[in-house]
Amino acid sequence: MGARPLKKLSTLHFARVSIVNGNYMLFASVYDGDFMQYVEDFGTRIAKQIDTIFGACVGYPKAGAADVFQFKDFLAARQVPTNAFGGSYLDRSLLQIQASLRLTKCLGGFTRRVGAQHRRLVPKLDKFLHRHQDLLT
Amino acid sequence: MLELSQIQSNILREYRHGTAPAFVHFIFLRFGEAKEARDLIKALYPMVTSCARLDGGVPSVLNIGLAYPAVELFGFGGDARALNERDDEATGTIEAFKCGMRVRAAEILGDDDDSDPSNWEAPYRQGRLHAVLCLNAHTREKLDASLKLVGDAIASFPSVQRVHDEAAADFGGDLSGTEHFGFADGIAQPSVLDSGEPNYAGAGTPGKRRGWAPVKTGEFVLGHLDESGQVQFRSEFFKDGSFMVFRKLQQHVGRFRDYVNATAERSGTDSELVGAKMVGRWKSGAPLMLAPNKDDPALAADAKRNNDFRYKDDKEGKRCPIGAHIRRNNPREDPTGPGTIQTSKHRIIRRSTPYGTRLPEGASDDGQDRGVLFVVINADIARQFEFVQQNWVNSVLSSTVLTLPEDRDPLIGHQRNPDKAGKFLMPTAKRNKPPVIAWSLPRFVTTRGGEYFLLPSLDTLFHIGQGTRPPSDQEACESPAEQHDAPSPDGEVEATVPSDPDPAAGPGDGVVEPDPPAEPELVEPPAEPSGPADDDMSR
Repeated sequence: MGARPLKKLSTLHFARVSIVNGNYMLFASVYDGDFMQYVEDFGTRIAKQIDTIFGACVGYPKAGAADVFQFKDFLAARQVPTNAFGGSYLDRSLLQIQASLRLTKCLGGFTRRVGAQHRRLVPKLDKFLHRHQDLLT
Repeated sequence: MLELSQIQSNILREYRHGTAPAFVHFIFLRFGEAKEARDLIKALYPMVTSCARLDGGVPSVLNIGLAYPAVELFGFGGDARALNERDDEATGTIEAFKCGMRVRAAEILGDDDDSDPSNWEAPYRQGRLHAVLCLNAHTREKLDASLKLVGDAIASFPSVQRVHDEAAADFGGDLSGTEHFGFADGIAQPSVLDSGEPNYAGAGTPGKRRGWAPVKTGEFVLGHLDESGQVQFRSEFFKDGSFMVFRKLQQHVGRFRDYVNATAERSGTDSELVGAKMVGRWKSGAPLMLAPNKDDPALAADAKRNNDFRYKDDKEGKRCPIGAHIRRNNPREDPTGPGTIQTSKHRIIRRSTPYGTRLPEGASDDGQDRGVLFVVINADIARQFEFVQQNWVNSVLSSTVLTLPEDRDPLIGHQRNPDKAGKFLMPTAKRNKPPVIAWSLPRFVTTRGGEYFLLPSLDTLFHIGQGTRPPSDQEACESPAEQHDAPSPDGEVEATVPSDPDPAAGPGDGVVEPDPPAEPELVEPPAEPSGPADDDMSR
């Protein structure tokens, strides 16, 4: 099913589904913030796709991921603790990283087009900031 | 249909802008002997106001909230424990209720630094409170009359300690319904299914295309169908009750005005606009989504229009900034936010009344203590109040646009210390103009204390007063844990209670009776004890 449904989760860095020992499924993901918020995102934004992936598991809630509380308990009961966890931007959220990368790119283009000596630097910069307001949040 | 004669009035009544009582008083109690505590409840019972009784007209209102230690004292701790073990959804709220606000404050509610519980006022910091009596009236005289009766009742039970009082009052006149920062308060409130209150546009859950559905009853009244399609808290002890969050929030008015003025001056805009952008509404209450350029008092005064908006046409926050207070706390169908379904599971009823004198317009800070006594009504403290506070006020995790966790609610967020303080972005619709950014937000609000309470149904209060148990509802008994006469799991001593000494006296034999309303149409609970109840809990 590709990575598209997971794109709807703005807190999810990575997710991986694998089959272990023939009849176990391992779902590993890296996400920002609170577990409850994450589970709710599953249940309210991509419940159908989650049901497709997890639906065959033993003990999966009858009403699927849309039953957020059952689904939370289902996941919580089956969690495997991570003993070693590393990353380059552990203190940055996914959206923050994405926005920073885009802003850096746009700013690079701007500095090439409009040098520090440009005689209309201030209005140009204002226009740039206006166009990229969404990256400043 | 709801039994409005069972539900305490502060759950579903008088919370909308314009209907809120002008004078509000809280009395916090700590109980000693269980018997005296029961007798106090019994004495106060005739004054306790239900929704139905309020609808019939009352001079003043009394509501009773119990903190978890009191529930234990009265021998109903087993109900909460059974629920905790059996009920998936209730786990969070019972846990929160059990711990109390102080334990949850730093980690979940974000109360750190000056808001840290170790800096709270003594009554909220030292030991657990047992109960709160919430009194209110529309005039000072009526409140005072009621306070006298309640005060006398408390004084007649020496082991009941009157720990602390809090008083708050509306500013009155033109300033009626506003808070210290100058903004109209309490406009966007959930409309509740079957509550008998009007369902104004914008109050409930937005429909797919148009229209607003009232929020399901179970989000605010225990034992009813909620937004996730479940009925939680079915046991008779909890049914028709609700949970109440009390918080004393100090407002730094001078700091707020100075900051707004400085931000406006630096960016060449108007300070009214900067303040409105932070809140999402103008001072009158007119929402930016409907009045983007200037205040519109006529719109604000119209309850049918002043809340009737969606965020779908403002994905960039050019009208109402995405980080604005009202957009964070009730994101509706916001395409950049958590979405309709998720939002519907995190609604709260707010009631707040200002305390302290108002700082005159233009005056510099006078060092006086002022703020709001803030009350939240919700069925699940963890899922509703705490979730909003943790994820929406003090973080940005539900948003697809806000990215910096440091950027918290500009009005009530607990900003980090100055070097890590967040900012607040106000995108502009003006062509080629840069957005206004409010940098280094200070804290405008400090938590001074608070606690979580259960607002039991009238029936439950009656039975507490009598020392009996509510009759167990056979239909609700799905598991042995819920049968009320099963011994408590952890083997607490259960004494057999002498049967009700005078069942016929029922609710009428209290010591106090305010202005004798015709004895309300309270459904008189059957008073026969349904089994051994716990009484000997005063150890």
